[in-house]
Amino acid sequence: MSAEAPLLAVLGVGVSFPGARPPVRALADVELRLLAGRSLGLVGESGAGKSQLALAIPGLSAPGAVVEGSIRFCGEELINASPARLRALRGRHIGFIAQDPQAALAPHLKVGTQLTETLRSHHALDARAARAAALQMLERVQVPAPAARLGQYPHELSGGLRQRVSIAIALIASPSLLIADEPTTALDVTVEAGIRALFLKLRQELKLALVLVSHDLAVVGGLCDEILVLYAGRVVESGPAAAVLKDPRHHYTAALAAASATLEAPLGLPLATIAGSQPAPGVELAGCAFAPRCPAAAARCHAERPPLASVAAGGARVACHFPRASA
Amino acid sequence: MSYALRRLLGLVPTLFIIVSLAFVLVRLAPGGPFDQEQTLAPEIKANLERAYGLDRPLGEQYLRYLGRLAHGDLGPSMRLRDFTVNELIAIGLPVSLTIGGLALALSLLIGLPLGLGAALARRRGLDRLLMATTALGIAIPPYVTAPLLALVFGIYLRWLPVAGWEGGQLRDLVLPVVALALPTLAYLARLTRASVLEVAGLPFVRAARAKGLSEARIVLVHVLPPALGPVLAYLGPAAAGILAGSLVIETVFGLPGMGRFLVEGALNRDYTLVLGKVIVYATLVLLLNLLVDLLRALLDPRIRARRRA
Ligand SMILES: Nc1ncnc2c1ncn2[C@@H]1O[C@H](COP(=O)(O)OP(=O)(O)OP(=O)(O)O)[C@@H](O)[C@H]1O
Ligand code: SF4
Ligand SMILES: [Mg+2]
Repeated sequence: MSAEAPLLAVLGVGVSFPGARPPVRALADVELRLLAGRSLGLVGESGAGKSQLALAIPGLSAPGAVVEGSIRFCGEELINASPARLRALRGRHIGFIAQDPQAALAPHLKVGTQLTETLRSHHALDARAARAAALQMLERVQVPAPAARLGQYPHELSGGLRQRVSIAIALIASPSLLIADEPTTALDVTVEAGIRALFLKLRQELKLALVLVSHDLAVVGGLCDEILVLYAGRVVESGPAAAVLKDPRHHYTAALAAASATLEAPLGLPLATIAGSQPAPGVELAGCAFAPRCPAAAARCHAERPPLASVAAGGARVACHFPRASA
Repeated sequence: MSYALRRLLGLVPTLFIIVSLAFVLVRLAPGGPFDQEQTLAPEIKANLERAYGLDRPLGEQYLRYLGRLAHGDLGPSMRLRDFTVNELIAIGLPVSLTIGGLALALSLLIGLPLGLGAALARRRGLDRLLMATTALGIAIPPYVTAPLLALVFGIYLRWLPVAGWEGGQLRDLVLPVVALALPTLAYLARLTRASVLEVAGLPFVRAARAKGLSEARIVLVHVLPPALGPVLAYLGPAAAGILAGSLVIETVFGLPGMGRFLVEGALNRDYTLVLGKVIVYATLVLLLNLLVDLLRALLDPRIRARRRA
């Protein structure tokens, strides 16, 4: 696996907001690798830093954010890449679906415009060709009556349709990597199931690499090859999805898995069974950030931060002094 | 189109209320149009009042006024007896519309780009400078800037005439239009800046950036149209402010606009003149507000949808 050059390689990435009161370190020491055509699920509870990571990859971090480390896409370093270079990559090679895609569509522009402008800003394409491509993309994401949609405004579409349009926009220029930040969270359960099925179909059809953000392990488990669990801005566990789901080695992952299994509705409170909460933004603990909530915490956990280390031959890595025994 | 027409008809009741209120208010002030002419013999005064219908009960006068107004007749001026109010307005309105319209156009043409530029240069030097100067522009009213401008450019530098109106030549227009435009221009610049900054922080702008669009397209196509909504909404009040300011400006620069005779008219109880000009001002403001509403719908499909529902 390590022989093949990864499509995306993130190393030692940190995102902080030094100007915030108090200064916040939203992400620290994040490491991940993604091969072409593979999918990675980013999980963790609210505030874990999932969106910050998703945004940092295509250089979309908020103004005021300081991003450090290395983010390589097809071997090319993206941190401190020129704005023109990032513009050329965004949309064309890296598709992005923001958290709350309902708000991600411009209210004053027709669906057709929002689809074709992506294509036309990257390729010399006349209006008719762009329109044809837009129609084809809407069909691909299973939007009914696609021709009529091109002339409609976002407020004329249902939530599920808007989500499909957002996906179409992200994919229209055939990127090799799609980053989707909680693409199903704002939707009701049946619509969500449809979108999930669509993601599965698209992955197979388009040979797309996918970074999928979710706070629900089960959602990610069904769609992804690999899982990366974030807690308080750090990676606590990563590895093949099946292994992480079936045999979580970090106590936080185990609690997440238990919570996910006990709740059918993905919109429920997935972490209701884990008492306590993450350290407040701006608070950095000397030891393991999960120690205050961990059933296995010992003195060492509070004093010393556990490094991310391999625990199994399959590539699973865990940041814990006392990992759970393998099942 | 039918919507615009419906809205236009909708102005009639509003205007009716304004006319009625103005009619009552004008009459509430003590005295009458012929009181101050000491030389007037009582029988002549009575004759005059009869000629202008002032001897009739107030209700009858009101109905008669409305009847004439329905035909577009604002009646004779009670103090400038050689003129009808329509004639006086026909002389003054083009002058006022010219300087008011130019002032509004200038405010938009300069205020919008300034505000946009400040928003794009956010918190850097240009932005700070603009914010400071516009704060000054808003704080200083036209009755201070007008004499100052006249003093500097008219008297010291002798670049432009201090006063006068020779058929509305450009050199006569510059100072009054600039003095009139400054507060509105400054306010529009600040409003545009705030509005652009607000829209620029919305999720769909980040989404536009995620598509790899050029910065120019993001600003012009994604940010600016929605940001113009609040700016357009302010145009109605802005026009009203400019009209009010033009009263002062016309006096300072000696322009034969709508403002001329209005103050004297009010002091002399020239009922028809005051009423006529108030009605014209009110109609202008109402029409402009309507125009602004229609323009906003053009920029925002959600407004159009609400309207159809
Ligand atoms: N502009 C900002 N200034 C300061 N702190 C910020 C800023 N944006 C995000 N943060 C902090 O970054 C941390 C991670 O936020 P992030 O949005 O990535 O969480 P998340 O895992 O996506 O959560 P959710 O599931 O709620 O979307 C939070 O603690 C938040 O307070
Ligand atoms: S390091 Fe200690 S506190 Fe942290 S998860 Fe492991 S056992 Fe729990
Ligand atoms: Mg998030």
